[in-house]
Amino acid sequence: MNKRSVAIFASEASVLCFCLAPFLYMLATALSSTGAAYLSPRGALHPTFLPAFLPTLEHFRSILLSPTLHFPRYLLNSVGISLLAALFSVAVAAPAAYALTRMHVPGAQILMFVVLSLSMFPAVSLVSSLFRFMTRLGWINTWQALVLPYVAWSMPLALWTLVSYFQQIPMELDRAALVDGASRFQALRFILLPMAAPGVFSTGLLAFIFAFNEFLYALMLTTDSTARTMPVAIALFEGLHGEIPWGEIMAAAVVATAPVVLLTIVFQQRIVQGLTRGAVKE
Amino acid sequence: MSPLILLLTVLVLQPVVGTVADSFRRDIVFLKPAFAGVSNYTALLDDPGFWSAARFTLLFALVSVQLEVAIGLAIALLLNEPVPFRGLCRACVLIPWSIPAAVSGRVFQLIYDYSNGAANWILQATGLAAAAVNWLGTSMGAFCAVVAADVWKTAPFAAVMLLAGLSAIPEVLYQQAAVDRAGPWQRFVYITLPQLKPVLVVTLLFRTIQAVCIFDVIFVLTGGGPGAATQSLSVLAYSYFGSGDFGYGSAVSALLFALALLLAMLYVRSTRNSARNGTWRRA
Amino acid sequence: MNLVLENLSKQFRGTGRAVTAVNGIDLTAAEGEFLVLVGPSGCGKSTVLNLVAGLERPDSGSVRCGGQVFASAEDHVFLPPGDRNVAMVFQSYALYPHMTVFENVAFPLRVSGKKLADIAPAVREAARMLNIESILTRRPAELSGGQRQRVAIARALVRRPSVFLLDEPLSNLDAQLRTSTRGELKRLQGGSRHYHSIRHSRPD
Repeated sequence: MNKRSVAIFASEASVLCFCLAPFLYMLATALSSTGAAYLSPRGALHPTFLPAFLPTLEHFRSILLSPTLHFPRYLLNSVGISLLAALFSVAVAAPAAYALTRMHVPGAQILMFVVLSLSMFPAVSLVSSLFRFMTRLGWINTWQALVLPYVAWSMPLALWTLVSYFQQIPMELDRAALVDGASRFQALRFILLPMAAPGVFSTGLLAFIFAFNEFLYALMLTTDSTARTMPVAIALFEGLHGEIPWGEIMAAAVVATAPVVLLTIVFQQRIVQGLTRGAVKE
Repeated sequence: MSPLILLLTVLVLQPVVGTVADSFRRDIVFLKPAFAGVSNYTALLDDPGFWSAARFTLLFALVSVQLEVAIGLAIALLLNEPVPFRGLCRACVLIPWSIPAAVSGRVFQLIYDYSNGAANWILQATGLAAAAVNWLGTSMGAFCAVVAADVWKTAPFAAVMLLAGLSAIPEVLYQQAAVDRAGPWQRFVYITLPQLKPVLVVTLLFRTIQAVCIFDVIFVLTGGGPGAATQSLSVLAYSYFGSGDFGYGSAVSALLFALALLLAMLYVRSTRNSARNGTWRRA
Repeated sequence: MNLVLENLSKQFRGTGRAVTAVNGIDLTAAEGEFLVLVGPSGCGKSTVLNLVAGLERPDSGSVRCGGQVFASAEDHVFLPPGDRNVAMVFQSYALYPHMTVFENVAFPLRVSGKKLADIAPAVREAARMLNIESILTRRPAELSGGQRQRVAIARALVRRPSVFLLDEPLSNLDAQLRTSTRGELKRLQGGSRHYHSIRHSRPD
């Protein structure tokens, strides 16, 4: 093995290490029987490091089955809200993207830029008024209180991404479909949508991940503990007894991140495609 | 169809627009709704807490964004080559990005924990430090911890963007360079970097905007502490909301908004330029 | 049924200037006639085809086929492409990449609401005429240029159009294919069907 391949392997190993170490650490802590005690830095390399590490599921059991915590409920909230947000974002953005690319909309470019810059507002600037607004509607602690702002936030990005996907579909196919006798709707359904399906899916996926991971709105718009989403639950988790129960916190973290990590691993190509659409123009 | 779509779009944007308008009005309303003019803003300018938060936010954004773009670039350069296990690496690279910021904040809270954390354990086990470092108890340590957590989470995003940019560089340029007998460093400086410039600029600006607005990680990791050492502008605004002072908090968040808007305009201008110079055109 | 173009004009408004693509053209194609428009690129041939197909609206003048008015600027009549029974083969063939050859050819019948039982035989008949029966299950990406063109022609034929438009049908083919395709088009046109075809190619 020559020097170059050693260097390459070392680099790759360090990249993997960089990306996965905290995550693996989270997993290890969640599974360890002694909580985090085996990691206490008492002097040099702890001689009882390995024997102390007996994988156990007790942390998972205690957080999932505890009657005072509501982790399954939080997971349900998170998944449900994110799913709805993703669906609505795409449902609104897709026809708009179609209209912008396929029909002559005056000032389309300006509209797109305005819409995009709207999604760059700092969340904190909007959240106080959103709170007042939601309180007035009586929507605090409901799913719609979160779904609507999430849609409003991710729809511009979805629009931008979908426009880019739609632009890649040659206009000539539309015209061929028209000459073949298809109505606009039939053209959309039989030609455009099937071709755009991967792009639509990627966009929805990104919207889901964003909604799932969102923190500030979820924090401020829920006051009841059963209405929380996973990220908020993790952040506010103080544990049942005095000392910080790292084992349980990390177990909760694993449960919280499992859905998105799984999605990312399975659909990583789609995700990368969706993310880079806007930045790199071919 | 088209007017209907636009109407729907506007309707969805209503909450955003509404809150924007709202927050501007509310800035001049004090705790009990009363017109307070610009007194909030003037008080803000005199408030040392505000300025320290502003300083921290800018410093944080500067350090964090540069680090993550540098690391992201390194990762992208590596993954652009046909190295073994490339697919595995790519998948793993996305994992930090996909984890909720709040969760990663918690994990790093553990890592930097004084008695239980891995950071101290590693430092002591490898002999790099004599005694455990009080990361979260000192302002310097907390700063490092927060930057580390943020960089870990966002370097993958930069890597993905830059990797896409790298793969769009025409191979023929490198072939020409090989013929011209340019070494690897020269290839990097004279071909890779200039070709990458549009993507770099976009990524830098985009990330800077996000870094300036940073909230999740800081709130969970340090809560703004110790004291107010790691309080970003967002966290500052939130703390005012928490204590009921909506007027003052709104003023802070409005200023933050102005800053983000400025950066966003820069971003829009730069993408418009690259759109003009590139081959991107509407169908 | 004659195809009549009368005083047809079309202007395009670009950024600032207006370009007159077609300027008051008068054209008559008799039934069964094989009409060829020849000219340098940019002289408006595609625009004429688009006007006949209904992909563009005329600024003045009219397009008529038999007794039916396809489009008339003065009388504010415009029949959408689907109602005109016009078929068109595009220069790039415009095959739907996510569909098989069979589905591509069947598409015009499908969107006009024909039942599946009626569609299959018609598709096979068109495939037989164009010699593409062996590739019915393939996707466009797997086909050669000549095969794609034949699929495009089959798709156009399957509806029994009254007007058959071909846009630069030979330009994407190599010399050998060009000769054989010219022959095939003549053969198809000489069949029992009554149709017009306007075809244009650059002078070879």
